[in-house]
Amino acid sequence: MVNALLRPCIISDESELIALREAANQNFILEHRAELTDEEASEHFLSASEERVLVRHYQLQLRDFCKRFSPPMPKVVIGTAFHYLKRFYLNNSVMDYHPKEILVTCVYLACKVEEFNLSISQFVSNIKGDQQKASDIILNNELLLMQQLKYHLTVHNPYRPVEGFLIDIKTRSQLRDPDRLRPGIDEFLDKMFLTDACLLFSPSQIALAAVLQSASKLQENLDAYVTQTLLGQHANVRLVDLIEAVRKIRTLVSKPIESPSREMFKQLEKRLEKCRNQANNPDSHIYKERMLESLNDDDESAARRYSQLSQKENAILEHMKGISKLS
Amino acid sequence: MDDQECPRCKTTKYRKPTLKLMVNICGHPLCEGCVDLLFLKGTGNCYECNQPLRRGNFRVQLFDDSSVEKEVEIRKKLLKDYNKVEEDFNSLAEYNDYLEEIEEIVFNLCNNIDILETNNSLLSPFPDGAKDIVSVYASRMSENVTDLPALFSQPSQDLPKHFSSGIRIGSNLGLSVPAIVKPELGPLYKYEPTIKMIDGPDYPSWDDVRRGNYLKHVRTETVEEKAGGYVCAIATMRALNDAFAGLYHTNKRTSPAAVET
Repeated sequence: MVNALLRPCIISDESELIALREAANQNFILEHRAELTDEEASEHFLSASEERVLVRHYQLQLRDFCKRFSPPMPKVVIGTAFHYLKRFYLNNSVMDYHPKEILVTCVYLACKVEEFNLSISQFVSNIKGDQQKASDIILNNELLLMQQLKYHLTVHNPYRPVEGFLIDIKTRSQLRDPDRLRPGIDEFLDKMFLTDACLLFSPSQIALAAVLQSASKLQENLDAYVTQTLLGQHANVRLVDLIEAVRKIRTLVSKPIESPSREMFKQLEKRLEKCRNQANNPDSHIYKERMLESLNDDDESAARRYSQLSQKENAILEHMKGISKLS
Repeated sequence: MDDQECPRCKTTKYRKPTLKLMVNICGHPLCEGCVDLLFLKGTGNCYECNQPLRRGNFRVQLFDDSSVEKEVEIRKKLLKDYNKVEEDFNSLAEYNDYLEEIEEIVFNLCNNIDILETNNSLLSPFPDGAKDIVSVYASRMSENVTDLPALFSQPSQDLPKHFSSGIRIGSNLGLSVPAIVKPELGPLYKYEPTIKMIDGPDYPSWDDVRRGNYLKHVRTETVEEKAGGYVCAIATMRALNDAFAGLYHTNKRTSPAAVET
């Protein structure tokens, strides 16, 4: 059951992730390169890896934004927002939709989905700068985001599995005071959300990895619990795969996340400003015109109908005048 | 349909949106206000055809064409008496003649042809004791409609013949039994337990959770929560469920069937 639910959000391996991101990048360039030669294009547009750098940077911003958020957010909201952001940029290019706009939209949608009830005005009061504009951006992007997530809005965060493991460990293992593990687990999960682990592994595997990592930090050993209690009689068949998954998660998470230097980031931002899709830039003329058009659409057709009607009426009046003259 | 107009006061639907036209047995419409005014004493003559009318017989006009209204009313009245069914005749031709006769009467009454004569010829199918025969037909009709022959035939000896109020049961004193429509029965519902694809190790059952030591490690529900139907076993089970499910998930693309075996 869970497997079926997870399938749309879980990617089989890292090479597929890279392939998806490359494809999104290439699609955007093909659509917008126009007359540019290959060389000019590669100079003008961002590459997939440069996009990754930007998204990583904005993931850090997402984390900080959520940490500073008032009222304080539950952890699941942050996890869900991370998940949305990652999944959105699997199939979309950074150049098409600016991450800073998608980021806040992800958080807003995550608040809704995880039942952390906030009005849009409460939400944007956490955003510095023009709040009216921010709320417009969020509300305009919300439907797009949901569509790009293919409406799979339920996210299985690793937090509840962690609780499950802790209850199970308390009940079925000899570990002394398992609540000591919590700080280590939280730290691990915080780091985990900056990686792609949540797209590659099931939430319970991630939770188990977090528990094991935290235990090994405290010089405790939970191996007996995993092999004997948790897996029981299936240990010999399943253990290899499970250990492999946990090992992979731990290496993914323990890899230091290289945050781009300030200059490099600024340079990338500048290039992004130039090559981004202007139709989705709320400051551009194209965007404003498009919004105006869609706003005026209803009014215009009504006006057209009115003018047609009044013309007809005038014609009838003219006709009647002619008759009265004749008689 | 804004051209509805009261023939007397000339009010139209356009000028008075609440206008309600009423018709009586003669089929000539009048607006509600005029009915109130003309039939103050309870009786009066039709404004158009001078036929004596009673105020209680006025009804709201349902059809735009008031002659339709009149015909519906006449048919309703007529078919109460003319209710023979096909089985009452020896041949189809006779039955058709009978139907033809009804149509003839309806047409005459609607178009004011030989009204007196027609009215006199009414009920001629039942020359003597007409009323009795009519009630036989009426009861038979209601039996047909209810389609519950068992109720009437078999347990008649055991059942009391009179209500406590002294009224005979089944004596059809205008109290026709409401039609009970038998619902179509489909195949019986068969419960099939849901199959959970856990893709992980077996997790404790509800009994294990309730009886085992699991609940010692979670916050017990408050009295208010318990009243609302929440017990901490639910949350415990959910957490355990989430922890165990998906542990066997692998990146190899294997079909679930292969995993099962």
